[in-house]
Amino acid sequence: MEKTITTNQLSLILIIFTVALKLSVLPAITCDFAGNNAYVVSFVSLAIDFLLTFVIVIIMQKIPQKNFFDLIKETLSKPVAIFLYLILFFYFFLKLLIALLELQDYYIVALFEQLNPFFFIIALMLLLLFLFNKGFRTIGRLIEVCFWPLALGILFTLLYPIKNIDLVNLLPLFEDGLYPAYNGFARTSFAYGDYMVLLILMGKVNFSKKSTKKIMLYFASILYFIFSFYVIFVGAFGSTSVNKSLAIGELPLHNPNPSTFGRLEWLTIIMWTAILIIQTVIIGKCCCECFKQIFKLSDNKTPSIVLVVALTVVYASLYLKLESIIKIATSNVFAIITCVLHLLFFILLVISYFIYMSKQNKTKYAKQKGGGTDGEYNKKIIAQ
Amino acid sequence: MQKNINKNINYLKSQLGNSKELIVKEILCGKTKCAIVYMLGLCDTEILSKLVINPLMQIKGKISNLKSLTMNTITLSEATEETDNKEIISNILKGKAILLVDNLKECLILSVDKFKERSISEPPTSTILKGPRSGFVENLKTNLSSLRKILATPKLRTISLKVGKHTDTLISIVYIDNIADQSIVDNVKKKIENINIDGIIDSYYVSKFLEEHPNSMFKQIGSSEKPDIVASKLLEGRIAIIVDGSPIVLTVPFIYVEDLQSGDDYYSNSARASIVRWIRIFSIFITILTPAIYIAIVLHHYKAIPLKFLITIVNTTQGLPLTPFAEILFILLLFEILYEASLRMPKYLGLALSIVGALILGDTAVKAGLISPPAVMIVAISGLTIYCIPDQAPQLYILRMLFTFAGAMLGFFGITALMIFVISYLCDFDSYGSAYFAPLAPFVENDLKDSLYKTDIINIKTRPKSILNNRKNLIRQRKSNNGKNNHN
Repeated sequence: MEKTITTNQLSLILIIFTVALKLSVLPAITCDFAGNNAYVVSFVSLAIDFLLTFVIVIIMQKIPQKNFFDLIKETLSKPVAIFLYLILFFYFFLKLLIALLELQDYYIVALFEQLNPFFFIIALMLLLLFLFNKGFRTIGRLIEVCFWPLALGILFTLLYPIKNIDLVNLLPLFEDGLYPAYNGFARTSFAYGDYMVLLILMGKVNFSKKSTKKIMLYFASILYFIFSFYVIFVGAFGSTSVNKSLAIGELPLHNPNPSTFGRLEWLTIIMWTAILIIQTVIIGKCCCECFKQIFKLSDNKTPSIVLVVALTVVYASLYLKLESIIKIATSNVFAIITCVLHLLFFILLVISYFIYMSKQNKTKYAKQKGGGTDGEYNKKIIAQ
Repeated sequence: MQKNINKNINYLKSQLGNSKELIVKEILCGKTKCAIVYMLGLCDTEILSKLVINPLMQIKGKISNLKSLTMNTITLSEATEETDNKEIISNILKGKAILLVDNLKECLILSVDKFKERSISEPPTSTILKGPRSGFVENLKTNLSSLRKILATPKLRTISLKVGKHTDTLISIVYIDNIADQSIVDNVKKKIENINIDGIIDSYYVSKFLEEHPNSMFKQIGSSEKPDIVASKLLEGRIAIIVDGSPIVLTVPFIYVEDLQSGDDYYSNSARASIVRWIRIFSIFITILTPAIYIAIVLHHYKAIPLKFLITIVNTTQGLPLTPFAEILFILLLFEILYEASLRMPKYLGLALSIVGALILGDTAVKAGLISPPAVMIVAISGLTIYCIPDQAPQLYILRMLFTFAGAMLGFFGITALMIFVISYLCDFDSYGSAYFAPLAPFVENDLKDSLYKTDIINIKTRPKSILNNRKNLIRQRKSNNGKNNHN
């Protein structure tokens, strides 16, 4: 049986998974589509994510032993489960690719680094291979150890530009009607839907008392941080925010005392690099889990090797081509596909859950009706 | 053993290679022929003659059994009957004397062994300002008694095992019955029983067999030279392994924070202890990261440092024949050589060596334009901080080298990636059911009191949950009805 993760680890995985993709290229993209309504768009998207995550966490807690694949297999059918996991695999693979390209772009832009692509790709892929081979328990523990230094890095990113915020840049809202905001919401949907990671983590969490409250509290805090980040980003850069292609790389440049202390933000850059690496690990691990379920594998080695090889080939061919991938991800067709996928998986989970529960109740009822052999039923009768 | 005493004596002589050190003292006790067999130099002959031979000579009748001898004649406190040949030979070699009696198959093992033993002193690796100073010695019995002196509880259990084909080394597994987890005791016992080796010279030999990841360079078994520290670990639910001939006692399960704790922390102000703990934590990072960050900055990210500092570095590194990476490697190597030489050299030469190392080699190399002052300073800081956690020094040396390579090859990215690799590698470790990075990962809030910071002992009411111990007996102190603390 696979080792389970704690609710604390689940919360932190969710935080890291949520935070990174939204704060690198996404703020500029959102501003491109929605103008200064970008922070409203982020608020709506985050609120939807929060509500859906809340429902999924409750379902996870109700059936802690069931994973998503088994649930779909039992309620809908095995082919449907395999098909859904195939979709999930490609979904996570694309996200993984974006995350990797963001990581490399961020590092190069933030530190003006001329990286040797060969060393960079080899080192990164070896690290990913090692971590994909480990279970979610190891990744959860890794995040637990690193979380507070990383959280400080995240916090400093917000604090650097705080003096430069001009609240005038935030208004007026919906100057050109609701369409830009709607367009921004749809086109940036690829970066949201963080609850998808929960589908992979279903059945792997050791829930304790007040788990839901704790998870949602952590999640709400990070969503609040992301929203604040968007407010600060739009407030600090105003109409030029469209040109700030890597938000986490641009905001720390507002360090008020660069000449006295040097570029202190390099510490923040290291933290963000770590966050982006860990995020790619989580997404990649989700890919591996999908692969394992589709091909009914029990070990981590095969999916890890296959994924890393595939990733190396695709990644090397797309080296420094983040823009072209982002263009695809924000295209009209892709926006519709991701919106549909996010909703579809959520609805399927809820439906499967209710079917599963009704089946369970029926079985329980049938057992009770049969009576005699089941000691529990007799005890219940006596208690009544 | 046979009934004929001469055959038994011949058997023992032949088994021990007719060694000249084997002494066979034949005596006539009344009408029965007896023999005392022992190894020369390993026995206290004075006690032997006073408490064994003299009383035996007083016997006038016939000896029919050994029990009457131990009850009425021999005044030695420890004398046990034995029939097994292997045990008898082993005991002779361990310094015991054997009493053979004619017409009896059994013999008596007389504990008259006397080895010259180092006196109990403060161990050099765990010196403290306040608190108990006694350390373990090379004798298992003395070490056990040191522990029993502190833990005067009937629940203290010991399991004795013998390991080593030629050394027959005695190993004791020590634990507190209702506090330690029985499955770990069984696991440790099984692992020690399965050791099939020609000899055990030190506890380090045993520790390699107890490790769950034997090929890893990271420390997985706790060790201490002080009875007070081992006693406190036993009280937390750990298991101690004492090896005869070694002053280092092993403990399992081992978690990383144990090396951040020091004996001093428990006998001094808790606020001060907390600060010192953070200094130790920072020391780890300073040790492994300082050379790596310096190299990364100089080679890849020179824009990340303040302009004035950058000018200083540029001025001092101008015209050096070595690249910054080769320069750091050279100084690290020089440092290692000096360290190794100072360890092996006689003490009176140590001072001279440090003068040669620090003043002549360092200063001359800088003046000769071989190395730069910032690089010397970086390695010196790193070399100094490594000894804040002496138990982790071997791992930190290797990590420092690895991080320096990563910094040189890939700058900050390499350092970050390697850090993630090392942490996740260690996160995957479990030491006898306890997570290596507990109580940080998995997070155990209650145990932070004695890990990232140190609180006063009155606030530590339960045993740590970070290690696998008896979960039914976690309470360490509770309040009695009259308000005073009452130990469980």
